[in-house]
Amino acid sequence: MLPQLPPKGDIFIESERGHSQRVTTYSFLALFNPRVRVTLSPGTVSLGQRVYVQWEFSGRTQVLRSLRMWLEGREEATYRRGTSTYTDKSIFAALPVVETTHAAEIASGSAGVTIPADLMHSFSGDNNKIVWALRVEGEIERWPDVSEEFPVTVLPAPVERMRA
Amino acid sequence: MNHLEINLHDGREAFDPGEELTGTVHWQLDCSPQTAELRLFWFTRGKGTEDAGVVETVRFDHPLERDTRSFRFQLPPAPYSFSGKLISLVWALELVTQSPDEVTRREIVVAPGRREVELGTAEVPGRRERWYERFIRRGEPVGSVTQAGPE
Repeated sequence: MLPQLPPKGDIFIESERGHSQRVTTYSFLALFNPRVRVTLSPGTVSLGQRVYVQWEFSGRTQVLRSLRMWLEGREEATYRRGTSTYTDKSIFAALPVVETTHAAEIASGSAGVTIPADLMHSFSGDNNKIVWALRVEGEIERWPDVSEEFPVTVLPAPVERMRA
Repeated sequence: MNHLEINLHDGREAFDPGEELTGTVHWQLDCSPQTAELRLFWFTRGKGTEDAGVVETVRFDHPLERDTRSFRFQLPPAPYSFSGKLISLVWALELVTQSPDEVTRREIVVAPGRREVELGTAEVPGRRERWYERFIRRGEPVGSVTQAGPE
Protein backbone atom coordinates (compact mmCIF):
# COMPACT_ATOMS: atom_id res chain seq x y z
CA MET A 1 0.00 0.00 0.00
CA LEU A 2 1.30 3.45 -0.88
CA PRO A 3 2.02 5.78 2.06
CA GLN A 4 -0.49 8.57 2.45
CA LEU A 5 1.11 11.88 1.50
CA PRO A 6 0.37 15.00 3.54
CA PRO A 7 -1.95 17.54 1.94
CA LYS A 8 -0.11 20.02 -0.28
CA GLY A 9 1.03 23.11 1.57
CA ASP A 10 0.86 21.56 5.05
CA ILE A 11 3.79 20.97 7.38
CA PHE A 12 4.70 17.32 7.24
CA ILE A 13 5.39 16.06 10.75
CA GLU A 14 7.42 12.88 10.54
CA SER A 15 6.84 11.59 14.02
CA GLU A 16 4.34 11.77 16.82
CA ARG A 17 7.01 13.01 19.21
CA GLY A 18 6.76 16.64 20.26
CA HIS A 19 10.51 17.25 19.76
CA SER A 20 10.39 16.33 16.08
CA GLN A 21 7.32 18.49 15.59
CA ARG A 22 9.10 21.48 17.08
CA VAL A 23 12.18 20.85 14.92
CA THR A 24 10.05 20.56 11.80
CA THR A 25 8.12 23.72 12.62
CA TYR A 26 11.37 25.55 13.42
CA SER A 27 12.87 24.49 10.09
CA PHE A 28 9.68 25.49 8.32
CA LEU A 29 9.76 29.00 9.82
CA ALA A 30 13.42 29.32 8.85
CA LEU A 31 12.37 28.87 5.22
CA PHE A 32 11.16 32.49 5.31
CA ASN A 33 14.51 33.81 6.55
CA PRO A 34 16.66 36.15 4.45
CA ARG A 35 19.01 34.29 2.10
CA VAL A 36 22.71 35.00 1.99
CA ARG A 37 24.99 34.77 -1.00
CA VAL A 38 28.71 34.56 -0.27
CA THR A 39 31.66 34.92 -2.66
CA LEU A 40 35.22 34.00 -1.76
CA SER A 41 38.19 35.35 -3.67
CA PRO A 42 40.51 33.92 -4.68
CA GLY A 43 38.42 30.83 -5.36
CA THR A 44 41.28 28.52 -4.41
CA VAL A 45 42.48 29.07 -0.85
CA SER A 46 45.66 27.74 0.72
CA LEU A 47 47.21 27.94 4.17
CA GLY A 48 48.92 31.26 4.91
CA GLN A 49 46.80 33.09 2.32
CA ARG A 50 44.48 36.08 2.74
CA VAL A 51 40.91 35.51 1.57
CA TYR A 52 38.27 38.13 0.81
CA VAL A 53 34.67 37.34 1.68
CA GLN A 54 31.81 39.24 0.05
CA TRP A 55 28.23 38.75 1.26
CA GLU A 56 24.82 39.89 0.19
CA PHE A 57 21.48 39.14 1.82
CA SER A 58 18.22 39.02 -0.08
CA GLY A 59 14.63 38.81 1.18
CA ARG A 60 13.51 40.27 4.54
CA THR A 61 16.94 41.70 5.35
CA GLN A 62 15.48 44.28 7.75
CA VAL A 63 14.57 41.59 10.31
CA LEU A 64 18.24 40.79 10.97
CA ARG A 65 19.42 42.32 14.27
CA SER A 66 23.06 41.23 14.01
CA LEU A 67 25.42 39.33 11.78
CA ARG A 68 28.39 37.17 12.70
CA MET A 69 30.58 35.48 10.14
CA TRP A 70 33.68 33.43 10.77
CA LEU A 71 35.90 30.90 9.08
CA GLU A 72 35.87 27.70 11.07
CA GLY A 73 38.37 24.82 11.03
CA ARG A 74 37.40 21.65 12.84
CA GLU A 75 38.28 18.00 13.30
CA GLU A 76 35.56 15.43 12.67
CA ALA A 77 36.08 11.86 13.87
CA THR A 78 33.52 9.17 13.01
CA TYR A 79 33.43 5.91 14.93
CA ARG A 80 31.08 3.02 15.58
CA ARG A 81 29.91 1.91 18.97
CA GLY A 82 27.69 -1.16 18.86
CA THR A 83 25.33 -0.70 15.95
CA SER A 84 25.41 3.11 16.04
CA THR A 85 27.76 5.52 14.28
CA TYR A 86 28.87 8.73 15.99
CA THR A 87 30.78 11.78 14.79
CA ASP A 88 32.65 13.94 17.31
CA LYS A 89 33.75 17.45 16.36
CA SER A 90 36.38 19.76 17.77
CA ILE A 91 36.88 23.33 16.53
CA PHE A 92 40.57 24.29 16.26
CA ALA A 93 40.17 27.63 14.45
CA ALA A 94 37.46 30.29 14.44
CA LEU A 95 38.73 33.27 12.44
CA PRO A 96 36.41 36.29 12.69
CA VAL A 97 35.31 37.78 9.38
CA VAL A 98 32.63 40.23 10.54
CA GLU A 99 30.50 40.95 13.58
CA THR A 100 28.05 43.83 13.21
CA THR A 101 24.67 45.20 14.24
CA HIS A 102 24.54 47.94 11.55
CA ALA A 103 21.74 47.31 9.07
CA ALA A 104 23.74 48.48 6.04
CA GLU A 105 26.73 46.28 6.93
CA ILE A 106 24.44 43.34 7.51
CA ALA A 107 22.74 43.65 4.12
CA SER A 108 25.98 43.49 2.15
CA GLY A 109 29.69 43.97 2.64
CA SER A 110 33.13 42.48 2.35
CA ALA A 111 36.02 41.65 4.68
CA GLY A 112 39.33 39.87 4.58
CA VAL A 113 40.69 37.05 6.71
CA THR A 114 44.13 35.42 6.76
CA ILE A 115 44.37 31.67 7.26
CA PRO A 116 47.36 31.00 9.54
CA ALA A 117 50.10 28.99 7.84
CA ASP A 118 50.69 26.79 10.88
CA LEU A 119 47.28 25.10 10.78
CA MET A 120 46.02 22.02 8.96
CA HIS A 121 44.67 21.99 5.41
CA SER A 122 41.37 20.32 4.49
CA PHE A 123 41.58 16.55 4.75
CA SER A 124 38.95 13.97 3.99
CA GLY A 125 39.43 10.35 5.03
CA ASP A 126 36.58 7.85 5.18
CA ASN A 127 36.23 8.35 8.95
CA ASN A 128 38.40 11.32 9.85
CA LYS A 129 38.20 14.80 8.41
CA ILE A 130 39.60 18.28 8.71
CA VAL A 131 36.75 20.53 7.63
CA TRP A 132 36.97 24.24 6.85
CA ALA A 133 33.74 26.18 6.47
CA LEU A 134 32.49 29.74 6.40
CA ARG A 135 29.84 30.08 9.12
CA VAL A 136 27.12 32.73 8.91
CA GLU A 137 24.80 33.51 11.81
CA GLY A 138 22.18 36.24 11.71
CA GLU A 139 20.06 36.98 14.77
CA ILE A 140 16.32 37.55 14.32
CA GLU A 141 14.10 38.46 17.24
CA ARG A 142 11.36 35.95 18.10
CA TRP A 143 12.15 33.91 15.01
CA PRO A 144 14.65 31.15 14.09
CA ASP A 145 18.08 32.68 13.42
CA VAL A 146 19.86 32.53 10.08
CA SER A 147 22.47 29.80 10.41
CA GLU A 148 24.34 28.76 7.31
CA GLU A 149 27.54 26.90 6.62
CA PHE A 150 29.52 27.05 3.38
CA PRO A 151 32.29 24.44 3.01
CA VAL A 152 35.66 25.85 1.95
CA THR A 153 38.53 23.73 0.68
CA VAL A 154 41.80 24.93 2.21
CA LEU A 155 44.81 23.55 0.32
CA PRO A 156 48.29 22.95 1.77
CA ALA A 157 50.81 25.74 1.23
CA PRO A 158 52.52 25.41 -2.17
CA VAL A 159 55.77 23.46 -1.81
CA GLU A 160 57.74 26.32 -3.50
CA ARG A 161 56.52 28.77 -0.82
CA MET A 162 57.60 26.34 1.90
CA ARG A 163 61.13 26.10 0.41
CA ALA A 164 61.37 29.91 0.20
CA MET B 1 66.58 -14.60 15.38
CA ASN B 2 64.93 -12.48 12.68
CA HIS B 3 65.79 -8.80 12.63
CA LEU B 4 64.64 -5.91 10.40
CA GLU B 5 65.60 -2.25 10.52
CA ILE B 6 64.98 1.00 8.66
CA ASN B 7 67.70 3.67 8.68
CA LEU B 8 67.09 7.18 7.46
CA HIS B 9 69.85 9.30 5.89
CA ASP B 10 71.58 11.45 8.54
CA GLY B 11 69.29 9.94 11.15
CA ARG B 12 66.56 12.44 10.24
CA GLU B 13 63.00 11.73 11.28
CA ALA B 14 61.24 14.93 10.16
CA PHE B 15 60.80 16.26 6.62
CA ASP B 16 59.18 19.08 4.70
CA PRO B 17 56.38 18.08 2.31
CA GLY B 18 57.76 17.48 -1.19
CA GLU B 19 61.23 16.69 0.16
CA GLU B 20 63.28 13.65 -0.85
CA LEU B 21 63.57 10.90 1.74
CA THR B 22 66.49 8.48 1.46
CA GLY B 23 67.96 5.72 3.58
CA THR B 24 68.72 2.04 3.81
CA VAL B 25 66.91 -1.03 5.06
CA HIS B 26 68.59 -4.06 6.54
CA TRP B 27 67.30 -7.49 7.45
CA GLN B 28 68.73 -10.68 8.87
CA LEU B 29 66.41 -13.69 8.64
CA ASP B 30 66.50 -17.46 9.17
CA CYS B 31 66.09 -17.94 5.42
CA SER B 32 65.75 -15.86 2.24
CA PRO B 33 62.34 -14.20 2.15
CA GLN B 34 60.07 -14.62 -0.87
CA THR B 35 59.37 -10.89 -0.97
CA ALA B 36 60.67 -7.79 0.77
CA GLU B 37 59.15 -4.36 0.37
CA LEU B 38 59.18 -0.92 1.95
CA ARG B 39 55.96 1.11 2.14
CA LEU B 40 55.57 4.83 2.62
CA PHE B 41 52.15 5.50 4.10
CA TRP B 42 50.08 7.55 6.51
CA PHE B 43 47.44 6.50 8.99
CA THR B 44 45.15 8.16 11.53
CA ARG B 45 45.14 7.62 15.25
CA GLY B 46 42.56 8.76 17.78
CA LYS B 47 38.83 8.70 18.28
CA GLY B 48 37.75 8.01 14.72
CA THR B 49 37.96 4.62 13.02
CA GLU B 50 41.40 4.38 11.42
CA ASP B 51 41.99 5.68 7.91
CA ALA B 52 45.20 4.87 6.03
CA GLY B 53 46.76 5.49 2.65
CA VAL B 54 49.80 3.86 1.04
CA VAL B 55 51.59 6.49 -1.04
CA GLU B 56 54.42 4.41 -2.54
CA THR B 57 55.89 0.93 -2.28
CA VAL B 58 59.45 -0.15 -3.16
CA ARG B 59 59.94 -3.86 -3.86
CA PHE B 60 63.44 -5.30 -3.38
CA ASP B 61 64.25 -7.93 -6.02
CA HIS B 62 65.80 -11.28 -5.08
CA PRO B 63 66.10 -10.61 -1.35
CA LEU B 64 68.77 -12.58 0.46
CA GLU B 65 68.75 -14.07 3.94
CA ARG B 66 70.92 -11.19 5.11
CA ASP B 67 70.66 -8.06 3.02
CA THR B 68 70.99 -4.26 2.96
CA ARG B 69 69.24 -2.14 0.34
CA SER B 70 68.90 1.58 -0.25
CA PHE B 71 65.69 3.46 -1.02
CA ARG B 72 64.52 6.88 -2.14
CA PHE B 73 61.04 8.43 -1.91
CA GLN B 74 59.72 11.77 -3.06
CA LEU B 75 57.35 12.94 -0.34
CA PRO B 76 53.99 14.31 -1.50
CA PRO B 77 52.82 17.86 -0.64
CA ALA B 78 50.08 16.53 1.70
CA PRO B 79 48.62 15.44 4.03
CA TYR B 80 50.62 17.01 6.85
CA SER B 81 51.46 15.17 10.06
CA PHE B 82 49.18 16.66 12.68
CA SER B 83 48.00 16.09 16.19
CA GLY B 84 44.58 17.33 17.28
CA LYS B 85 42.15 16.85 20.12
CA LEU B 86 40.35 13.98 18.33
CA ILE B 87 42.61 12.86 15.51
CA SER B 88 46.32 12.53 14.73
CA LEU B 89 47.74 11.83 11.30
CA VAL B 90 51.00 9.90 11.35
CA TRP B 91 53.42 9.17 8.51
CA ALA B 92 55.47 5.98 8.61
CA LEU B 93 57.74 3.62 6.71
CA GLU B 94 57.08 -0.09 7.00
CA LEU B 95 59.48 -2.85 5.96
CA VAL B 96 57.62 -6.11 5.30
CA THR B 97 59.00 -9.53 4.39
CA GLN B 98 56.96 -12.61 3.46
CA SER B 99 57.98 -16.20 4.23
CA PRO B 100 59.20 -15.56 6.84
CA ASP B 101 56.56 -12.96 7.72
CA GLU B 102 58.21 -10.08 9.53
CA VAL B 103 57.48 -6.38 9.79
CA THR B 104 59.06 -3.29 11.30
CA ARG B 105 57.75 0.27 11.27
CA ARG B 106 59.38 3.67 11.67
CA GLU B 107 57.29 6.78 12.19
CA ILE B 108 58.33 10.09 10.63
CA VAL B 109 57.02 13.66 10.54
CA VAL B 110 56.01 15.26 7.23
CA ALA B 111 54.95 18.88 7.78
CA PRO B 112 56.12 22.43 7.01
CA GLY B 113 59.17 23.41 9.04
CA ARG B 114 59.56 19.67 9.84
CA ARG B 115 57.28 20.13 12.81
CA GLU B 116 54.02 18.29 13.35
CA VAL B 117 51.01 20.63 13.14
CA GLU B 118 49.39 20.93 16.56
CA LEU B 119 45.68 21.72 16.71
CA GLY B 120 44.17 23.14 19.87
CA THR B 121 40.63 24.27 20.57
CA ALA B 122 39.09 27.59 19.58
CA GLU B 123 36.11 29.56 20.82
CA VAL B 124 33.55 30.74 18.30
CA PRO B 125 33.75 34.58 18.25
CA GLY B 126 30.93 36.53 19.89
CA ARG B 127 28.81 33.49 20.50
CA ARG B 128 25.63 34.16 22.47
CA GLU B 129 24.74 31.72 25.19
CA ARG B 130 21.50 29.87 24.46
CA TRP B 131 18.95 29.84 27.24
CA TYR B 132 19.25 26.07 27.80
CA GLU B 133 23.05 26.21 28.06
CA ARG B 134 22.76 27.89 31.45
CA PHE B 135 21.47 24.57 32.75
CA ILE B 136 24.19 22.38 31.27
CA ARG B 137 27.33 24.37 32.08
CA ARG B 138 30.08 22.07 33.24
CA GLY B 139 29.76 21.29 36.91
CA GLU B 140 28.18 24.65 37.72
CA PRO B 141 24.95 24.64 39.69
CA VAL B 142 21.96 26.56 38.39
CA GLY B 143 21.51 29.77 40.40
CA SER B 144 23.88 30.85 43.10
CA VAL B 145 24.63 29.64 46.56
CA THR B 146 26.08 31.95 49.21
CA GLN B 147 28.13 30.05 51.69
CA ALA B 148 28.09 31.43 55.20
CA GLY B 149 31.46 31.46 56.89
CA PRO B 150 32.97 32.68 60.14
CA GLU B 151 32.95 36.46 60.31
